[in-house]
Amino acid sequence: MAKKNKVDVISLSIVILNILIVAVFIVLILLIYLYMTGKLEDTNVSNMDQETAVSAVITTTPITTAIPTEDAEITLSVTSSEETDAPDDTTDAETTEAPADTDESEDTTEDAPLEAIETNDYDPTFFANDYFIGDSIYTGLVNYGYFPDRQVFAEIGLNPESARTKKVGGSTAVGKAKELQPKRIFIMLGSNGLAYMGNTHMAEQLGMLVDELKDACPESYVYVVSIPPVTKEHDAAGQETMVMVNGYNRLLKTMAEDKGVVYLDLCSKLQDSSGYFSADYAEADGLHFLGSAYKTMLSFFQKTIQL
Amino acid sequence: MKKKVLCAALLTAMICSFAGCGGNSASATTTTAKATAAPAGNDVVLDADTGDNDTSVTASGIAGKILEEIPIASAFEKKKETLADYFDDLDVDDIEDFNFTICASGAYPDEIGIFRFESAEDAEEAVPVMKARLQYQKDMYKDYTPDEYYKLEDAVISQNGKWVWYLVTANNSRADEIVRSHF
Repeated sequence: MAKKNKVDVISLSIVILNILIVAVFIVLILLIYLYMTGKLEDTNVSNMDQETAVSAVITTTPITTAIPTEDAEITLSVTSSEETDAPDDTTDAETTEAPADTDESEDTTEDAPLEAIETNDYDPTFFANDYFIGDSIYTGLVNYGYFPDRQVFAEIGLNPESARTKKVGGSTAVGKAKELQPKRIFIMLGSNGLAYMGNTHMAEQLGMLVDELKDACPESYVYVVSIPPVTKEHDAAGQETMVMVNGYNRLLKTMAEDKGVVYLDLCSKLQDSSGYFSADYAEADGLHFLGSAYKTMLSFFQKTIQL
Repeated sequence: MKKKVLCAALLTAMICSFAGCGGNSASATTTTAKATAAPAGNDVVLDADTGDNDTSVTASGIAGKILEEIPIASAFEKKKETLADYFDDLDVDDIEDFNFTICASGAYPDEIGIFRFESAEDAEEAVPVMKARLQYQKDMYKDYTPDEYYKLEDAVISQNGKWVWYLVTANNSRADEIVRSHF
């Protein structure tokens, strides 16, 4: 009898031990599964710029990784699009710079998602039929996933002169615009020529580009965007300075008025209290944009155009 | 008697399960040893010991390890649909797994591309595509930011079985080492 009891106890112990082992295996398998599917993966990268980019681009979803992705950008687009009717172009007090044919202006204020704009947000659908011409700074519009490649004509090193003739992806800026017939055309060029081209020559070249675009796309609204500021450190290096930036932007404003197109003063939106490129928006080189700057730029464009 | 049989069966199961654990451990060690033996250098390499079947190796895992050591300013991961904007003639349908992280601001030429293709042949076909991308970047940045050009001069494009990696970073040889340590 005692022997039987002893066998019972051993059997029970082995059963419990087996149950425990099976339980441990299940937990291990679960952990391996979670790791394999990336749910346990820790991809934190201690890079300040990357973290800034995340906070700039992903505002509506929890941040789970330090590297922003285009999936996150899609989420932003969906959540920030509260209306589908893109408001028409109108003008306000700065309307003297507007195209003459802004006859669709009456209902724009009502249609505008102003609440979103006031929170420094923008509506991607507003720009759905628009076209952007620029240099390496505007390559960020595609790189960050703000717009598809077909809506952007941008290349590293582009300046107002080369933008008139150079082919990118098989087309010139004007050729691509002609094909696209966009609702609006935003041009931001000149940062690359500041150091060696001469402001007057650049402004003239940009004026010629504006004329060519107006001829190719008579129904489009053309916007001349000021070039952005530079940081204090970049200014001190001397190649591109705020004196150059401000001088060129003044010429752009005059040229835009002469051509009857809108000048958008993005530069002042990106400046800090001392007039240099704000650290909130400036890439480490003091010239290019962090992800946050694009959002501010688009919000500014939408807000200004809708007013 | 029945309990003795049950007891013996359970004991056998327990011993077998422990043996199973030991077997997995040995196999993992073998894989690591193969990785260490992988050749170094910037040339395109075809190697039988690819780790192609090691499902624990992911493109994002490798890219993440590189970025931990060699950060990229304004790093941004691209989606599969947009790869054609960067790699002309790349057949994205042949890609099983990938991570393509770039400096999105356009200020720097840094790019990390880790790709696992459906077959070694597909991977081999992708190598010239990567080389074309590298040449484009060289043409763009040579005069634009000469201080950054060194990243492109010793850029890495390598193939190992189904895997191809394209590295333009501040420390390409170290980035290459990190990739190879996964196979």
